[in-house]
Amino acid sequence: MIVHTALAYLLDRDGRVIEQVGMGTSRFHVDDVYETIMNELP
Amino acid sequence: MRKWYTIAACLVLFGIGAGIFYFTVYKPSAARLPHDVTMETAWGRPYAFGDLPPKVRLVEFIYTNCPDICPNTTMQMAKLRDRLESAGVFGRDVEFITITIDPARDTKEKLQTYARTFGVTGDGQGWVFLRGSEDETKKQPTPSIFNTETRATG
Repeated sequence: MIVHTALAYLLDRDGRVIEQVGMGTSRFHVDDVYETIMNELP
Repeated sequence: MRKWYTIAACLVLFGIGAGIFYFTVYKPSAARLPHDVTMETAWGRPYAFGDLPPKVRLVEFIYTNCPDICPNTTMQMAKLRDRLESAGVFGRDVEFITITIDPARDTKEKLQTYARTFGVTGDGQGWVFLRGSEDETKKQPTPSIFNTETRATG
């Protein structure tokens, strides 16, 4: 069975997926995610 | 004849572009948190997705026996948490959710141990660690192109 671990999604304030920010061995870019989050805040 | 080659090439390029847009922008944005699911936190509190206040949320899927990739990603989230705390928005405007995809093996105690590794010592700290039934786990917002299947157990 396929297992997708370390899968991470960023969701907006209404619970909608904004983007996938990590999956498996792909890097989770802290700086990029931080910027995206700060831009989403009111 | 050359005109038809040009038109065909344009159509192919358009199709490729539309496919990229569909799978990278449209389809992920169509996914959202399920409002009819209630899970349990690592410290035993019910967590109802239908009752959540509006916040930006980072949702991660892990299993605690995962040898390297999961803890590495969660460690990056911990670094991000520290930056967001410094900015004064973590917990108030931003929440992290970590969900086990192996609820059969990941007991509350195992999830607590995993959470403590990243500095989370209880509920109400802006970062919840959740477990639920396999059906509840499968309802999480995972666009089909990255469909998460519950880990085989036993």
